[in-house]
Amino acid sequence: MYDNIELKKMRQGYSDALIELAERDEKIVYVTSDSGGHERKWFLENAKERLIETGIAEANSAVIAAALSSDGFKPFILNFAYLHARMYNQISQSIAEDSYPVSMAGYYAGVWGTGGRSHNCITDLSFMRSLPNFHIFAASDYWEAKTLVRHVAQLNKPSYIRISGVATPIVHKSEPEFAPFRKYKDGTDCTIFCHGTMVHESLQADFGNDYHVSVVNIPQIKPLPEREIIQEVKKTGAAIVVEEHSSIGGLAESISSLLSENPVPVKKVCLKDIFPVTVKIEEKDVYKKYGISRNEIIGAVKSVVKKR
Amino acid sequence: MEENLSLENIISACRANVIDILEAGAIGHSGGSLSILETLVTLYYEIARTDPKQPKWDERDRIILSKAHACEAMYAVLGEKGFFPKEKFKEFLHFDSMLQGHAEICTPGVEYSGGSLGQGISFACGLAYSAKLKKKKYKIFCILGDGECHEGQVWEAAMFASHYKLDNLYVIVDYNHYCTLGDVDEIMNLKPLDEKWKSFGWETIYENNGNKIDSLINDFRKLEKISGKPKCIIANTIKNHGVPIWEKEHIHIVSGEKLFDGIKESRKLLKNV
Repeated sequence: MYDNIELKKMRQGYSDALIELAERDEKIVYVTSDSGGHERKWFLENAKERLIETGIAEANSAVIAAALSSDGFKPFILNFAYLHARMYNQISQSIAEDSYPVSMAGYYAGVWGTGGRSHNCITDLSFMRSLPNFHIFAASDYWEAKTLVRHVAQLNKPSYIRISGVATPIVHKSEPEFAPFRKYKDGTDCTIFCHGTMVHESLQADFGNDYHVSVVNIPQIKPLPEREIIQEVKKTGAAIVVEEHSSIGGLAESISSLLSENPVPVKKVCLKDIFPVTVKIEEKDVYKKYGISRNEIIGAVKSVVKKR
Repeated sequence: MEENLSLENIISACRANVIDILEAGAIGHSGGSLSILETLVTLYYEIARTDPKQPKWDERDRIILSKAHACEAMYAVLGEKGFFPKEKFKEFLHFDSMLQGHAEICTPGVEYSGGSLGQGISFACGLAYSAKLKKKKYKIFCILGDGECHEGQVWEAAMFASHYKLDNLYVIVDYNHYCTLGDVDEIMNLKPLDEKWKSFGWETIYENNGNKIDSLINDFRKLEKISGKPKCIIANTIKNHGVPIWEKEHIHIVSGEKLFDGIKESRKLLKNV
């Protein structure tokens, strides 16, 4: 992926935070479908009855979790992002309709992974955002994955956290406080809205002294922090939205929709409407190949600033 | 015996309620509702512990209608039992009514919002597991349709219940032999249905008289004595039971003239009772 920078799995952040929470809160249960890693091992060794294994039966797992939630437990489900589509009708009817606070998370969201087109999911935000009552989040690194797990544990709403499947660059020095809108750079010419792996990529985009650009991470995809976004673009007058997600149905579409009522020029730097193929972690210039690298970010900012 | 005569009267009252509800909605799932009336009356009046004055009483037994399209029967029994005023029947399918087109938790006494089939049994499994975790003694009852057993998720849940030895879980399969478009076994063969449940590790009874309260009570009493495994009654029932002209046509959803004819026939028969 990258040379000479610190990489760490968001997946590990999820696991570390969940174990820390489950050690103190006996209401937390973990519903798995022959899935999970360190956190599953922790439950198995320390709270076996709170590890609810359904076997490779994801549809069943979603509804089991809903029932446990209806009865006062705090169920967590972690599975491949793409499998949330397999559980979709169950999530919709049994979790979302009655707003049971099941905390879901999907990994291998994005283009990375050796699983190929079936496994590398770039449409999860699109289908999960459509569910009424759901709160949708995306982690930008190991530390923010921890933050989000802690946040959903006390949210008391159905939720979905999007995480990458591979080790990704560290953005934060330590675990940040939860914030739906997180600004790292304050500029005057354009705002880059981003989430997930694209936070690091956006921060690496070098504009020299030519452009003064805000870089804003939106870890809370739904409900969208609308007021903060509108305030921000009123200041800069232009926006680009960068995400390792299909151009259909993700943050870019959500912000474009919001800004259609508060018009400023907006450009999307997203994945095309494709199924991403197998990508090993050693592969170089992957974001460039998919048109979402720092070069495309710089190009998009230049283009959108001209339209102000 | 006297008590069961009284249960027969309750069934007649509930059948009249179903008719009133269908009339109010001008459309509804008559077939699968009338086939499970005896099951619901047996549960709510004889087997399960519920309290209409405290629908969320923590120690109550939970009754899950996985085949949630049979909501007319659920509403008929809950209304008769006093979970809500029977005047509400008039609002069935009306905009923003608490009596929706599939059973949902907005109705007092309804434990699960269904519609898409195969999920209620998973929910029942989750509640049964939860009861064990909380060391509670209450039971979970779940009513499935026969056509619903075509859903793969039913068997995911069946494996789960057996794996975790959920002996606080009872499933009643309403084997009324017809799904929406015809004979359930011609659409997709379920036979041998009891053997399937047994092979998944469930204590299973095939009840030939699935519309007879005494038979159902006996089955539940037998199953109560079994521990260490989940329990299943395959109830051989008649779709649209008690309304002969609908029975003949195995009607799934009734409306229009056929609804009118059935209401007329049913009220005549109930008057004689």
